[in-house]
This record gives sequence, structure tokens and C-alpha cells, in this order.
Amino acid sequence: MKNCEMKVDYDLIIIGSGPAGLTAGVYAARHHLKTLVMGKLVGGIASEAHKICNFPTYHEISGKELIEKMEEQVNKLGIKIENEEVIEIKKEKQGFLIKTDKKEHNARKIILALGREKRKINIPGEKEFLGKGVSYCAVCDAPFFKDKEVVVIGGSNSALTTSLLVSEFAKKVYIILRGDRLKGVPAQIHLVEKNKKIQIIFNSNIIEITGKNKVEKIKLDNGKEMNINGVFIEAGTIPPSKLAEQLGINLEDGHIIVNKKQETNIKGIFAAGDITNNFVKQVITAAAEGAIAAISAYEELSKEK
Amino acid sequence: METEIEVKNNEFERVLELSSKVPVVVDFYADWCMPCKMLKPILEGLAKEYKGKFVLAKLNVDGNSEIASKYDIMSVPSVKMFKNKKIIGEFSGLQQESAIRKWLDEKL
Repeated sequence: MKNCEMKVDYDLIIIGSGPAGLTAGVYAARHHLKTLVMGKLVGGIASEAHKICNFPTYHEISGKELIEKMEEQVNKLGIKIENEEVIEIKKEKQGFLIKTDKKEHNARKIILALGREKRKINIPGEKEFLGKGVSYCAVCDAPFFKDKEVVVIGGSNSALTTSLLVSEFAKKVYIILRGDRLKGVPAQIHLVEKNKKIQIIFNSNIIEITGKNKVEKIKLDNGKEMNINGVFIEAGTIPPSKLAEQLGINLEDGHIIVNKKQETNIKGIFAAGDITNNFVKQVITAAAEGAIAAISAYEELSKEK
Repeated sequence: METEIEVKNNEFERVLELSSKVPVVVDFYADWCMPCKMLKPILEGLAKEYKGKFVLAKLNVDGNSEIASKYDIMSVPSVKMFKNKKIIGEFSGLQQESAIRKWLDEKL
């Protein structure tokens, strides 16, 4: 698409390079939109998934492998994926100015595919021992805990998946959760319950992680102390809504409110994937939302020609 | 002078010797880790840009488990800067280029 009034770098900039952003990139390329994808971690949280068993065409695939296939498809279509962090977005006459930690770009349309971030539990020792026994990425770090004793914090599906993965290496895995029941899908709960290495500690909170140079001990709110080598934190996720807030985008519990076309309340800005207020947060639905957002951006650009 | 090297077969003495002449930034990575894949080109780019102010040593923990164990690697990516055979700085996890640049400027 051409703009005769002033030079605009891109028809479309997609902020976020997870399944939503990458799929939006594929659709944008096939609609011949001059597009840039930018993100900090290609694949986002999905790239750190141990196994994805519900994405059509693959009975079972690692998050990294699935994302690499998506990335390759985007690259083959001639779309660049840049590792840039967006600092600010400003509305301009013909689109938007996007300031990143490296440069400035402008684009006529934007898709926010910001994904979600892992929640910190904000207890003493969490930050100090990051990389020294504290981990947010079981796929990356589980192999370093061979024959060790570890805890997994959380009771959701991601905590269960992490426990199962870590149990392949560690000699003992304790799941520590606030509530009195596990919240994952039944298939995962069943696998965890029959795994002899995994022990579940209900109705408990971790309040401190201690050690000399690495994790050695944790304290619980019931006064109990445990000798532990590793702490995997899977305490849920939060939407990174700062950019959306800056732009005055309407939010619902931190998630961007979108309509069926993935449009936000600001013309020219679309949103897709885990950052939106849609009900389901899965790789397949994120990809679908990315496709819809790219097609909607194309339709809007076509009308403005 | 070369700006990056690859450590193989636990041959780390070469890195320590080199660190007596120039700071060496060791990137402990694994092929199974996506954040490692993202960090690699950032470090490679910075190694070129800093033109020999430091040498980047890439170390795959899979083929260098003794070294990874010796330096208590419990997470990848882990980055450690060696000078005169001693660790003078470190960080773990994927960081933005601007943050790594700041870290390098502080340490070098």
C-alpha cells in the first residue's frame, strides 16, 4: 500500500512476537502489507512450554519447536522480526509513532499482541536467588536439578506441567499452593497425583527463600522450614498493560477490550492474543485472534486508500 | 583479535588464560532454551561493536557439563564476566540490549 502525503515506514507494526503476533505477521504478509514484528522473546510464554498437545497437526510438540516453525514461516514470507522494546507509542496525523529502545518507526496501523508475563510472588530471596535456584522457566532450568529437591509454587495447570517436567530430573518435587485443590485440566491432575516423586502441600504460602550463595531453604507461613535446592515459580500470569494504558485503550482487569474484529476503542489499533479480554488463553486462539486482527487492519487500510 | 570463541569439551583453561589479557564474557547456554536463542545475537552484536574490549565465549552446557557444574550453573542463559581468572560480574535470564550495554559499561 502506498501513502502519497508523507513517508510512513510501515503499513502495520505488530508489537509482540508470540503466537498471536507471528500469525498476524503471516496474514499481513499474504495481504501484502509492509509489516514489522517486534518483540522481546519470540514465542513469549508459549516458547517456554514443555509440551503442547492441543495444537492441530501436532500430537505433541515442544513450545520452542512450534514457535520456531511459526518464526520460520514469518521469515520466509519476508517479514522481519526485530528484538526491540517499545517505550512509547504516540498518535500522529497518519498513524502512529513508535519509540523503541533502539529507534523510532511509524506505522499506519498497530496490532498489540503483548501476551502476558509471569507473576512474581514478591518474597525475600526471590530476586536475590534468581538463576541461583529460583526459576520461572522449567524448560530452561529443570535439567540442572538432577537428584535435587525442589518446590513448585502454584496450583494451576502451568504449575502441574512444571512439576511433571521437573520430576523427570529431581528426586523430590513439592507443589506448594494457597488453596485446597489443584486447578489444572483433569488429565494433568491425574498424572501429578499418580507421580510418586511429587508431593502436594495444600493451604500453604512460601514466605522466604534463604541460602548462602544459592537456594538452600524455604520458609512457609505455618512456620515450617524445608531444605530445598530449587524454587520454580508458577504463580499465574499478568497482562502487561502499561502501553495500552498510555494510549488510553479501554481495559478490563488489565486486558484490552476488543470486538469481533479485534478492534480496540482507538481507531487503527487492534489487539490479539492473551492480552485481550477474550475468554480462552491458548496458542490456537491467540493465533486465530492474530489472523483476525491482521485482516481487520488490511480492511481498514483498504478503505483509506 | 578475535571477538568471540566457542568453548568445547570442558576446555575452560583457555578462557581463564585469556581473561588475564582481556575480560571474557561467558555465555552459558543450552539448545533447548528459547531465551538463550534470543540472547545469543545480542551478545554477538555487542562483541563486534565493542571491538575487542571483551571477548565473548559461548559455552553450551550440554557439551561442557563439568564447567557448568563447577560454576554452579542452575539456569540458562547465565552470563559471567571473567577478568584475571575471576568472576567480576554476572546476570541470568534474557535481558534487553540496553541493559546489557549498561552492565558492560559498568564492568569494563
